[in-house]
Amino acid sequence: MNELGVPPADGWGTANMVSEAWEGASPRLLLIESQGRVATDAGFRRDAVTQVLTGQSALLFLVQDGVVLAVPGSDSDLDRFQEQGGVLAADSFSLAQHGLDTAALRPELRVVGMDVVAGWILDPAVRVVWH
Amino acid sequence: MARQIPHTDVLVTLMGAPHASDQVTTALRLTQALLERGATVQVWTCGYATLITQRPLGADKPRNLTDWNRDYPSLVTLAEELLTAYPDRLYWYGCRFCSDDRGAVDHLPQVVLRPPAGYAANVAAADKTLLLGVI
Repeated sequence: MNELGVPPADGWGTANMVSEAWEGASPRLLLIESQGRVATDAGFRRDAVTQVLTGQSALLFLVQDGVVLAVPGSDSDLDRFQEQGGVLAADSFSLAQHGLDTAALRPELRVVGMDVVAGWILDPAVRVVWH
Repeated sequence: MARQIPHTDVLVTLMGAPHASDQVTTALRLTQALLERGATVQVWTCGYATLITQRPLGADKPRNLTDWNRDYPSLVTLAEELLTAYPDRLYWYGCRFCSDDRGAVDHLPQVVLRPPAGYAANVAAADKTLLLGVI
């Protein structure tokens, strides 16, 4: 179990606390999910679960049609990803474009702009995979 | 003599049809965000993504029938604005085979068409490579 898989003494805490834990890890994975809720595309999310189960520090960023997965209960693989310590983030622009900017979103999900993602990508400790 | 590819922090490889999804918009937003952080970036287009830097696309998209007086910049305009704003830190390449195969022969002057096999040199010149979409 990686460091993100072990809840802190006071519980999971806020989304920012979890994100900070991811940002402090080295190396770490940035997984970018641009596909929506299509069963045939679930392999990428299952891989994300495997990554956290095998001790990787992983953040999955939802963008484009992928932001529909930010809705609670939308995808069991992402439920498991979060339960196992994976960090979830979503693109603010895509959320607004899909009419989800005022919707109730998954607990612990962090809403960020592309500027934040650019900063992650430029970090030498971060490996990026785009789906 | 083989072209020397300038080193960049990131290579954004953009594949697939421009309007099949929001992918091009996402790629352009990311490219802009990287440049605004001071990074050097190269974009490589493949497949139908080579179409987006064609000058015949014009400055604007066709008029919106429900919003007649509003201007919508074309994809080539968005690419040109980025290339103009960051002439020393943004490089744009296109796959010559894909471009020729689709009749895209009139690109922005900043666009360098390269043979498919040349892609390896672009990857080697970047610290990180992102692959967006499929052909």
